[in-house]
Amino acid sequence: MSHLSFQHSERRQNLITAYIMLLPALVILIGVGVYPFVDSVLLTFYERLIGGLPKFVGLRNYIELIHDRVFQKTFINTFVFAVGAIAIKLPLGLLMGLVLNRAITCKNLTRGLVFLPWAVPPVIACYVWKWMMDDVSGIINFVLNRLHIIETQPVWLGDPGLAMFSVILVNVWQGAPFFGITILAGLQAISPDLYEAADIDGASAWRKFVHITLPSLKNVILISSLLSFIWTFNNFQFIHILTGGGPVNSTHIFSTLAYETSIKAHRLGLGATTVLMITPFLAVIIYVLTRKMMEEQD
Amino acid sequence: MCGDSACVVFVSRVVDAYYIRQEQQGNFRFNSDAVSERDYFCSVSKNVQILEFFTYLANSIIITGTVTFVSIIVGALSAYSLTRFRFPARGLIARLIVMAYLLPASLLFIPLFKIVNELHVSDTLYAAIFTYLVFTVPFCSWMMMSYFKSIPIEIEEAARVDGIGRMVILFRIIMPLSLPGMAAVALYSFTLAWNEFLLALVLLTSESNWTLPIGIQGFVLGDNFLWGQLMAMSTLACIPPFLLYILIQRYVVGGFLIGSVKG
Repeated sequence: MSHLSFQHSERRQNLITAYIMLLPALVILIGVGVYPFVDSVLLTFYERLIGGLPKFVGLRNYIELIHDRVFQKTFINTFVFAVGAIAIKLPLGLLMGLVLNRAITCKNLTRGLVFLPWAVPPVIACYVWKWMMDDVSGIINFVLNRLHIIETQPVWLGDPGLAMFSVILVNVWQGAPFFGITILAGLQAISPDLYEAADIDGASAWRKFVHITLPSLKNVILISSLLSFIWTFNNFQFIHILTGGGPVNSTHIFSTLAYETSIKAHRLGLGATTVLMITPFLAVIIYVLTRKMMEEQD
Repeated sequence: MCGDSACVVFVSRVVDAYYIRQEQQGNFRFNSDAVSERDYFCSVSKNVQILEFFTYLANSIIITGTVTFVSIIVGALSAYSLTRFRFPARGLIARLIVMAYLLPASLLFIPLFKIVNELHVSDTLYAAIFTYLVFTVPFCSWMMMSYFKSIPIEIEEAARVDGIGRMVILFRIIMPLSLPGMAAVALYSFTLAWNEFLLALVLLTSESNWTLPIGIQGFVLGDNFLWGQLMAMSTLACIPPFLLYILIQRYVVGGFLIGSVKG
């Protein structure tokens, strides 16, 4: 009997310890995560200017946004940007991983160089690219003109038809190494026995790739694509620095538009609504990814 | 060749921008005919708000340092609790942490801006420190959960038999044992906070509170880019993360594998 009660009190003690150790993290999660999120949901029903008093407007913010041309364009842009960037980053990262997994000369140096864009602070990368893409003094136009590949001087970031492409290009440059790293990690986890067995059966390199490499990388590819999708989807600083959403709103994604509306135009309620309209799509991805990541850890 | 012509354009732009800046500041003193381009360049670099650079650097170091330190401690505590105890809502909290890690800052910057204003801490380093924690803490606890799971429980059971408390076990046994992992986690959260842009842009309005990523923007005056200063500051801003990266580089690939993707 006394043994049982001792066990009971120890369990109780453990429970208290467990919650005390969790407390700081929970306070932070709720204080700067959950509470602001709930607050932003409430904010969408108000017209609120910075420094002003909130005024309840019901669904008017939502109605205004749905009919807003710029928002409609931004909505499409956000997906074009994210999907477009990943469609290039993934194959490129796969190639990086495959090449780096081979015994090549100067292995460490090559790895270092390939992963460099990922380590460069994004703000700096953005400014360097902006400089290189300058129509008059940029090195890209200079080289293309000197090599007579093109005779004109395209305004990479200022032409509504080109700007989205240029922004995606910069994002790919910065983001492809992430795919490279995760895919390399995935490749190193594949047992060499599989390939040896395939060699004995006389399988071609392509068949080995399709039947061994790709299936083994399935989870890695899925997780890194979804992660990258979330990051690209919300990539505020690239767009903010490179184009600021322009020209003629051709590169606005929802985070830059929300920034313009809330901080620049002082309409917090409408800004919060802009963000919230895109949240369901993110929520689905976050839900799927959370499940995948927790499975991976267990 | 290309370097030369680029340089000329670049110098002339710097000079233009410098004039504009000087005129704006109302202390324009140069006689443009008397001073050669070289002198301009020197004067620009002398005036390149060296002091401002150090202000931004100091702010970045204070914010990033505090955030990384707090995240490691809070992350370790919660990761230990989640991997070593069984209690109700454990799964739910673990799930919440992963979700918070995935939640991007762009979903939260508007309410955070509003709350920070209401609490009258807007435009202070505290505002940045507290809000950065929302993405570094979940990241740290998620990563450390993987490391702690890989440490056999028998090690600490021996210590518990000797009557050693949980906190001591965590800080004296578990954390030292997962040192390579901790190094990687520290590096990542340092990088995350060092490069943070959106929250810093929204929350830190006065120049004396700017971090490096925001300070760099100060060299863009309308359509004029002070490329020389911009690039000089960019290069300098790269140094701290690179130093840290070189120091703990060998843990990085290994650490990365355990945390996000195990293959």
